[in-house]
Amino acid sequence: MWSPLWITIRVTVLAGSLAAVVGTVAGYTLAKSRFRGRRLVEAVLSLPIVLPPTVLGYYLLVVLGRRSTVGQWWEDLTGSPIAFTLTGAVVAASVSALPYVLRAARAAIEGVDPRLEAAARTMGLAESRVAWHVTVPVARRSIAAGVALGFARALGDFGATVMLAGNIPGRTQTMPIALYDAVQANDQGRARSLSIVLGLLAIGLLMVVNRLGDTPRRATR
Amino acid sequence: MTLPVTTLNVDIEVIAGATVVAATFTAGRGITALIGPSGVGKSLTLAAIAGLVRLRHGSVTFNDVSWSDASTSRHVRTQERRIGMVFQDGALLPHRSARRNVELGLGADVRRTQRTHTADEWLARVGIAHRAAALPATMSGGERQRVALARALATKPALLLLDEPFSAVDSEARAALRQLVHDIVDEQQLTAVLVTHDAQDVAQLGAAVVRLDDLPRPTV
Repeated sequence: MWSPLWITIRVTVLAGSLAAVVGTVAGYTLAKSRFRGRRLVEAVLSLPIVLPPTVLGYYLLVVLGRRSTVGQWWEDLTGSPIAFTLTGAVVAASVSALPYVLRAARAAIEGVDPRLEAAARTMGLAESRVAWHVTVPVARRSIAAGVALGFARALGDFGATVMLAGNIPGRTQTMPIALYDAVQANDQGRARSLSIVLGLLAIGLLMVVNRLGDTPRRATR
Repeated sequence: MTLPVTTLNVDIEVIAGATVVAATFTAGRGITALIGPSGVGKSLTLAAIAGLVRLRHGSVTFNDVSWSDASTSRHVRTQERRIGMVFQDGALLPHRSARRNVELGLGADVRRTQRTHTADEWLARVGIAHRAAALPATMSGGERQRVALARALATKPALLLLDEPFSAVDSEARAALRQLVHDIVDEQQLTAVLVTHDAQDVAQLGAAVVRLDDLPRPTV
């Protein structure tokens, strides 16, 4: 009960945060640049919405498994593989969450009034500071909505996680996987408490993430 | 006056959608008003001077420094032109207070206390120090334009670009705001280019007038 909860919290926070950062940067890049193949990039990064999670997890296992180039490189670098570890669970959940952040961020950033950015340029702000102080803060409510969805997706992932990280109690067994195990073992009491705690966790998490997008009622200085 | 003469030389052609905008004029110290029917490209001309759009033909030169020259593909970035710009409704950042809007252009390398001090000085100069902590959404049109003016001036620009700065301001506040712009341009020895529809702007500001008409357009 407590071990899957702790693993789930860690995976969700890490994977959700990773997806929030990568998704916002990728969404910004797709909104602002006009390179060839950007539609293809967006389609590929959006695949996790469309693909069955087990299929996505299988792709990840092929690309990041111990015998793959990336998996080998990571293992040489850190001394621990991606597949069947907590790292794998975080990667699976964050890849699943990424497109929700990315799509919201791209649309929100494209919707920012270009004159706000133009005004910042006339004040001498470098492009990176325009992005950091103008574009992203102005778009933050819609980005936060995408981040909330991303966290929800990371919290609830089953298929991709089970494929890439497996079902190792105490190491990679998150709550949704533990719940499946409990039902298979006909342990109704455990299944019930897991599902209740997971539900409460989801509500609490979404309340915290939603606050990120709130407009301040008044400025503090 | 022993001060060097400032001149802005504009001779440009810009494409915006289906229309071609052409403008040729020179502006010296003080206020130059760009007038003309809507759709003639007055705002786009300002954007070209600011370097926010690239020129298809022509050039922009300020104090003998070439800012844009289509023939050599020269394009100095907006950030390096030392300009201040005020947009129609201020274009203030909605999530920042008046003070923090003015601080935005004061440089990441300047200490925060110094930035706040400079911002407060400019807010006081435009007569809006009492609203320093207010968010733009809680301000009137006139107040927002004063903040926008403070924000543009705080970066010490040599050239001030004003894109219909009075049109979103109600008529009582408008005359006072015009007077403020007039006095500040005078006091800071600025060169300013003003886009306007309003003949009263020109009259009260004592501006030189450049009329952008439907010039014969070269076919594309």
